[in-house]
Amino acid sequence: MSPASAGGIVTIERRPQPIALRGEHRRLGDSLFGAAVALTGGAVLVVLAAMVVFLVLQGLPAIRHYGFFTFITAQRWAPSEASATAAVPNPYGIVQFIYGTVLTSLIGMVIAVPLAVGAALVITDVAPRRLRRPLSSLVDLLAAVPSVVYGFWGLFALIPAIRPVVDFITSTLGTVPVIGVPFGGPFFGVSYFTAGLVLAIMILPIIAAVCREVFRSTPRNEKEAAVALGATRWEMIRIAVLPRARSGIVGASLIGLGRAVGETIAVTMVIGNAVLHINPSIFDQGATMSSVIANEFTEATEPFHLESLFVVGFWLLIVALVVNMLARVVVRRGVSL
Amino acid sequence: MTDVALPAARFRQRPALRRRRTKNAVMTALLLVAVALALGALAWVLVYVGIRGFSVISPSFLTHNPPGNPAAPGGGFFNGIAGSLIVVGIATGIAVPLGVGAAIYVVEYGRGRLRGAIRFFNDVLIGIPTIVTGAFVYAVWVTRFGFSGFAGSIALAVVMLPLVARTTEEMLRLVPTELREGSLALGATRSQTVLRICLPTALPGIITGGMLAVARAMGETAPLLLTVLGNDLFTQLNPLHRMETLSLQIFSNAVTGYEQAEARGWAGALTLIAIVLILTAVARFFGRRVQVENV
Amino acid sequence: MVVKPVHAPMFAAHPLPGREADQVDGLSIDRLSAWFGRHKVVEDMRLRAPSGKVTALIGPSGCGKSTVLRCVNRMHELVPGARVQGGVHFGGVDVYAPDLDAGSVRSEIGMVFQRPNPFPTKSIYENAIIGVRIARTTPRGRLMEIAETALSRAQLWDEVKDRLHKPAVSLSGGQQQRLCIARAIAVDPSLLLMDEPCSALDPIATFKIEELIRAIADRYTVVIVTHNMHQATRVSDYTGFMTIENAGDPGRLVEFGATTQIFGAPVNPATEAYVSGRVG
Repeated sequence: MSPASAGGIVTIERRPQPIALRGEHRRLGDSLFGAAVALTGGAVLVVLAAMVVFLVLQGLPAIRHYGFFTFITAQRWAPSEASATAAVPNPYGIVQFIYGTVLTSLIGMVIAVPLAVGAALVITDVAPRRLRRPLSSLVDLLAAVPSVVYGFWGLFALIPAIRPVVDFITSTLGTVPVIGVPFGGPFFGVSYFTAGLVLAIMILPIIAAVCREVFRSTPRNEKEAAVALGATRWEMIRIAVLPRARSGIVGASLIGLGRAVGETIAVTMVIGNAVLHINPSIFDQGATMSSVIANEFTEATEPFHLESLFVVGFWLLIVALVVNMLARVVVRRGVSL
Repeated sequence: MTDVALPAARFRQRPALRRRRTKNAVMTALLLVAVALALGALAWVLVYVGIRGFSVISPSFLTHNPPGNPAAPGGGFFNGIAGSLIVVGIATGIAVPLGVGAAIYVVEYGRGRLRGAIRFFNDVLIGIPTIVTGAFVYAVWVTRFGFSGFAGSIALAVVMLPLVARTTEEMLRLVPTELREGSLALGATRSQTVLRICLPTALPGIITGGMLAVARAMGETAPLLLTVLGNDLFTQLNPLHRMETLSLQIFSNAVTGYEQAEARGWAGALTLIAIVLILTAVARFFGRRVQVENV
Repeated sequence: MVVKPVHAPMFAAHPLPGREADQVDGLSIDRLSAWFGRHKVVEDMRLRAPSGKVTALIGPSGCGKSTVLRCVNRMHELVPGARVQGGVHFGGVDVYAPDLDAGSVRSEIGMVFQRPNPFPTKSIYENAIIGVRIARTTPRGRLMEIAETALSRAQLWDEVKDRLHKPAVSLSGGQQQRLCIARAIAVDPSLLLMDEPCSALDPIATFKIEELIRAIADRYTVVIVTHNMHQATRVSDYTGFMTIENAGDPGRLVEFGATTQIFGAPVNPATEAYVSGRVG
């Protein structure tokens, strides 16, 4: 404000504030908001990175003591044999957990994928239109049931139900030399197979949900082309829906696999937690990477026990990361085709 | 047209047709069997838990703690229920602002590769085994500050965060660009546009997503095993100490071998399922269509 | 504008050369009405499409032309709540006979859609013979022969004979549509329905397809829906004009006759208004 004098009259000029400076407070607030929001966005990346780092850090003492690769080469997981000084042999062999994770997940997938694909096809192309939403919601409901409830149910409802069937298999197929070994008894209820069954029910809804989206993205134009040629409903599905959906189904299965790999509580309750070494039959008790952590964490008092559990956790994280990232890439490609 | 066989004959001359129709019928039946198995499993689980739990559940179950002697009948899971509500409540308070913030960043502010990376890794974070999350929080927090309800909340927040972020992102994307442009054209800043226009418009969907995340967190057990540890017999409402949650309580009671404890476990399972199902149903019913990937 | 739909008298005044009202071959639609739920979209439709000729169905958009077509090959009934009433006869056979399964009807009638829809995961060859494969009445040995015949008739053979196993989507839009035509005629249908087959194509591709329609016309009965009047004059022997009186009304046939007559000397004033470009 500069007073301009003109003949004694003082006029005070009010220079208007340039627009850019108006609402400076607002701009400041806006920048702060933007920064805050950017931080939260970065939180996702930070958390993931931190996970890897901290798990390694926690497991480091054991890695330093026993060496990185002995965890894979050692034959047994026998914490009671651990000593604070001796480093050979490594009593914390983890191969049987990797085996357990792979086996139970595989059993889960073999059962869940066909059922999920079938259910998704029914929801998108077979069921009468009015039933599609309810059916879809019901299948999704399977995903809402908590893991601990599945485990509980598995113990008390599923095992007695499958026992007669499994006993039959172990007493017939299981007695055949060589090929019967994976099916041998005795069956104590808790087993790799039981865990695989429970996993199948748990991952089915996720696979079905992704498959549903993939099938739904089939262009109507192509379905009509098939129908106009006189195709039956199954033929239409076979010609117009399924061929496009191949990579989508693979992606859905990978997502299910990722979930199966990480599932802990239900598996721990029905697998038997036999941690010593790999057991040959699918009806034997066993353990997975996640189940051993859950089972032994609170009682890990032996030397390097807790740290070795972190090594297991680290490997579990790597496996889950690889499967999940692969799954996302494949699914994105599957739906956009 | 040279008059060859009249089309009339051809409509009916279909030897292969019966085979095709049979195949269609068989395949359709197989597909229906698949759905029936899936829904049958669901029904089995719900009905079984319902029956086992119904005989034990009572108002006193919800208001009393377990008896000191696991073999004794009666009592309830009050400490677990209360503990769950507290732990999950705090976790929600952490996860929702962070998740909504991350989503706002991705939708409204993000550019190029960073935004793509955050979206991608957010999805990856959803798939991390929850036991690993628990181990992580143990390593970061429990080693320094001990087991506590709050540590459990942190773990659950890590589980909930990517879920909330994803659904919020989807809801924000649905807000029409015209609304944003209208607001900016009036001179509002980005933050004002987001806070006053976008969030309120997307709010129903965001709430739905939040409720689904809460339902998921209520059911989680693994991460709490390593952070909260549980507190079987006593009601502990202070999150700075070890607490009991409903999920942990069901877990520990299920495997005791004592019939009465197991019976309480079933009642607990019924309670937990009821809470989760009600939350899920309400969320879906009132919210807008949220992409249903409970991954 | 008052539109006076004229029915049977129209046919009597301009009889189709050499045919009685009661035909044994060719397509005949009688008093066809169609609904989507409660909404009536076609009313009292009549049409005679003689075999070996091309019959065009023209009219403003939304008057139900495509629906009429879809009633012929029983695609209309796939929409939930859709309803059809009236008679559709082809070669003397009632298409809606209760003992006739819709799939068999469709496999006797070829349909070409507005936007080309080849199956993207299949090759050119596989697309051409897919209809034949579905029907399972042809031995494998003959499939290549059939593919060559169909693709030649669709005037696509020379362009694709060296890359039959490339993906169908590697073709241009016009080529894809000719592939869809080949796919439809590979099953040797008696009736070919074309629903605005050129509307998604450029003029050159359109021209090629119109040429091929004229070339194959004598082998099939062709009914083509088009909103392009010039196309109707170039391609068809007979033309039916459909329209709606007011928005929301069902479509009705206004006039039917030889193409030259419909465009040269239309009887009904509504027809005259449409073909002269004053309306629609």
